[in-house]
Amino acid sequence: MISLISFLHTCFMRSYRYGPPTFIYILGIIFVYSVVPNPVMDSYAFSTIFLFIVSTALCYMIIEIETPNQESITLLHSGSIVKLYLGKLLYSWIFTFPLALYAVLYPAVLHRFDRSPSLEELSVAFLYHIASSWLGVALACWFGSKFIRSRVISFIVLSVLIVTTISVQAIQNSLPDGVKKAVLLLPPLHTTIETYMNYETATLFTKLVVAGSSFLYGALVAALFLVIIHRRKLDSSHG
Amino acid sequence: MNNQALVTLTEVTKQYGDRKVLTDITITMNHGDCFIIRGSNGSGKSTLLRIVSGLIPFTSGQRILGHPNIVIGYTPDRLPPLRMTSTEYLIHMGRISNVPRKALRERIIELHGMFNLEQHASLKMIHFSKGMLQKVNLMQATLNMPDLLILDEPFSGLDKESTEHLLHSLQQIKASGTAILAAVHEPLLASQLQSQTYWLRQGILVSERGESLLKDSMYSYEIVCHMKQETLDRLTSLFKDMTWQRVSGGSIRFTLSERDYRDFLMECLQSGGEIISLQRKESRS
Repeated sequence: MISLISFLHTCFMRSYRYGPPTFIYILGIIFVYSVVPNPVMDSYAFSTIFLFIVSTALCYMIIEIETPNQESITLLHSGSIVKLYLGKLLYSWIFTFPLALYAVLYPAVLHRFDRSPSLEELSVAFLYHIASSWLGVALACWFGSKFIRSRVISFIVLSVLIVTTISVQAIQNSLPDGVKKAVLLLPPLHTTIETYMNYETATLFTKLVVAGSSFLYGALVAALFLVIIHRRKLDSSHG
Repeated sequence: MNNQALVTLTEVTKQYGDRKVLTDITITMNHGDCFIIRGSNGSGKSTLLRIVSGLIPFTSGQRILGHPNIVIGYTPDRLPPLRMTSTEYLIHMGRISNVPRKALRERIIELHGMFNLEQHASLKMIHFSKGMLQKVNLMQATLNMPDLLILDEPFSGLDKESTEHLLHSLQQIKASGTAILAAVHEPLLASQLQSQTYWLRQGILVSERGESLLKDSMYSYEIVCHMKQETLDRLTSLFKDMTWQRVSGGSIRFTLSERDYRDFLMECLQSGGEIISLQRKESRS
């Protein structure tokens, strides 16, 4: 798996495709913290949503980083399509770790907050950042050309899904009482944001459950993706 | 090595929607076998190779591997030019295949020597010609000496020198006991690999031997063409079994078997010849 991730890393780095989302993210964080002071957890809520969006963009690119011919070769060398795609998902996620660390440490180290964040706040913020990026990766993997041939359509549908995920709270409020529970099926990013907003009153258990729900939701969605890709292999809808 | 079949396909059918690409394909590959699959564009050659490789699923039938650890080398029709050197690329592929480091380094040096790419080992593959990429393609497939080597149009677009070199390399690989399954377009190369040729027509796999026995006894083809002397020299050297004679107006009438006439037509047109007429005739009652 490490050798597979190393190959994907070489391909991704040398394609320079990581440039636009990473550059926008780094500049975006600098821009947001250009005005001081900022509330700690509210600011982290923003950067968590930002990283969620960036992680979907990264996974959307990494899942297609190989040409179909190279993918056939890599698959035969790795011996399993599940291993190949798990490698792509893990690499997409690992790629967001330094971005998460940057979002957590940059404002804390450069004193961009109205107060110094505690170690617990820093740890939970980092956990929430990587939990949300895992959620983004697990959602974006479905939008490769294996499932949706048109890149335009997949981009539009993924964008709608991102907006829906971010607006779950608003959607829930506008739904009739009988179907409010349907939002439980949507990615649980909103619970992370709510916990940021009510950080002082939330128990440690609640804080951990919120991170766990994102990891679990992402794991289930990713596992379903791997099951389906295992059945389809490298098949596509055209001959 | 043992006598057990490496891969067996039994009545494999592949369908995309309502379109049947392959119908009831049955084929068995043993150590040292060399099968050439021929057919027109879109006849399903690549699909068949990808099914044998295990890259895509099939609609019905069975694919049985001789043993679970069978090593399959696969070369797609073209290798994408990556932003890395051939050595870096092969190190990555070898490590993904779990080839031990030391053995991998030695094998990569050996392969660069075998394919005359030593002087380009530090050049990025984006600067490689098509022939050089095709060599790297074959190198990656033979990194871990495969039991079965699957080649999709390995000679497509290669110049004469590269083709001869690749052919020589394939003969060496075959001599080591590796089974080869290749889809090729060129009529000449199939014969040089000492292989058994199959044709894919309307999704059905037909052995050339069986087909020619059946059809050669029934039909011959008369083709009247205009062509330059050099084209005539080329065609007569390629198609040894045909007969020809000059007819009025400087045209030439060729008589060919079912087996050769398609390749003859392609070769003739590609060499600048002009087809005046084509007639199928019953050669015997």
